[in-house]
Amino acid sequence: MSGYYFTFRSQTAAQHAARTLEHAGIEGFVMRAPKAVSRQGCGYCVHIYAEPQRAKIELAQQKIAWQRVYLQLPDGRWEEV
Amino acid sequence: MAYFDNAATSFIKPPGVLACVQEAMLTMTSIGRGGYRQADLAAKAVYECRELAGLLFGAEPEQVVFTMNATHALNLAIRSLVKPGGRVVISGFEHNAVVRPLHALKAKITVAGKKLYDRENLLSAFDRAIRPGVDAVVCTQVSNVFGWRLPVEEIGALCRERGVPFVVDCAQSAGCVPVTLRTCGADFLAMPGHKGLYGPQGTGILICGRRPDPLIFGGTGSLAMLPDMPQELPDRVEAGTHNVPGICGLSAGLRFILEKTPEAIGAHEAELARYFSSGLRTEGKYRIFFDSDQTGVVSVQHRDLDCEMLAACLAARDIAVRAGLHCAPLAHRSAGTLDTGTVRISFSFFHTREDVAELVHTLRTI
Repeated sequence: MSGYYFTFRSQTAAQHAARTLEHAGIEGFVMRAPKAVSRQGCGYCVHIYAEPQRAKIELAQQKIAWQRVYLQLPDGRWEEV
Repeated sequence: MAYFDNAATSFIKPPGVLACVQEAMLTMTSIGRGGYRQADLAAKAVYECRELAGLLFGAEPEQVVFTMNATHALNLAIRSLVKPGGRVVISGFEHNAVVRPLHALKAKITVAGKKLYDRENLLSAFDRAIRPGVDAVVCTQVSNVFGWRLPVEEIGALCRERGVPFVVDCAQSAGCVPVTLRTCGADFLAMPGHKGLYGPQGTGILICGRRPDPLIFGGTGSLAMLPDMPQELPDRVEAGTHNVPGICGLSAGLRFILEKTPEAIGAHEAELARYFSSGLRTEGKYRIFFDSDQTGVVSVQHRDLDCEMLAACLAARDIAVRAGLHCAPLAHRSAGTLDTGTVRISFSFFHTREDVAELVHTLRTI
C-alpha cells in the first residue's frame, strides 16, 4: 500500500491520531504497524495517503506524539520521512 | 418488581445497553490482538467508549482507563499514590473500597469530617488535615449510605494549593452529578460502570490526571519486546483481554447520559428523594436521613424493626432495597448508625413519582 505510516506506541494513541486527522480532513486508518517498522513489537500506525507534513502539524497541535513516519518504497523497503 | 437499589447496581438500563452487549458478543473479539475485522470492530468500539467517557469527565481518550469496577479503579489510584505506611486524609464517609486498600498499606489515616450533613465542619477538618507530607487525599463525592454531596471541589482546591494528590470516589456521583478532573482539581476520578453510568456489571473507569502504576502485569497487545509494562496510558494499566461486551454496553449508557445530561438525571433523582422523604416524614415510626444537598439516595430506619427485617419485609413484597452497613462502616460510625445500620433506598432516572408514592404507601403499612 502506498502512502505514509505514522507509528504510535499504543493502539489508543493511534486511534486518537486517526480521529484528529479525520477532523482535519486527512483520510487515513489505524492498522497494526508492519513488523519492519515496529522495533519494539506489536505497534500501531495510522496510514494516510497524502499530506504528511500537514498531518504532522495537526497532530502536534493536538499534542499527540507519534514515533516515526515511514514511506514504503516501490521495492518494498521502508524509508523514514 | 420494584427496584430501589440503584446505588448498588442500576437494574433498569437505557435502551441500547443490552443490544450493544449482544452485538459485541456476536461480532467482536479482543482489542490490540489482530488486524482482522472482529478485532478491528472491538478496537473501534472500545475507543468510542473512551471518547464518550472523556467527553463526560473532561479527559482525553488516553486518560480513560477501563477497570473491573470502582473498587479496582480506587485500588489503582491509591496504590499509585500511597506508599506503605504513608499518610492519607479521607472523609468520614468513605466506603471500604477506600478504607481497606489503605489499611492493607498500613497507611496512617486521618479521618476528616465526621458530622453528617455538616459541610463547614468537613471543610475545616480537611483544611486542618491537608499538610505537606500527606501522600494523598481520598474523598467520596457522594456518600453511598446517605446520598450527601460532599464539597469535593473545595477539597480539591485545598489539595492543589498544598501540592497533595487528590482522588475522588465517584461511585455514587458519576452520571448524576457533573464532575471532571478540572472542576475537582483531582488527580484521579474512580467510578463503576454499572451504577449511574448504566453499563453492565464488571465495568469501571479510572480517569487519570496523572500516570498510575500497574496493579497487574501482562500482555497489552503493544510494545511486546518490552519486559516492563509500557509507560503509555491506557496500556500501562490495562493488561490482559478487555471486557469488550461490557464496555460496549457502557458506551450505550454513556450516550444516554450525554443526551440527558448528568444535571437533569441528578435533578430528577433528587426530586424523587425529596418527594419520598416528605411523603414518609409524617409517618412517625420512620427516621429519614435527608438534607437539602442530597442525591437520589436516602437512608431510613424503622422505630421498631431491625433494618434487615425491614428489608426482608420489603423483599417479601417484591421491593428491592439494601439494608445493613452498605460496606461503609466508617460512614455509619460518623452518622451514629453503626450499631443499627439503615435501610437504603436509591432512586433511578427511570422511576416516577407514582413508583415513589407506592413505596411510601407500602412502608406506611409495615
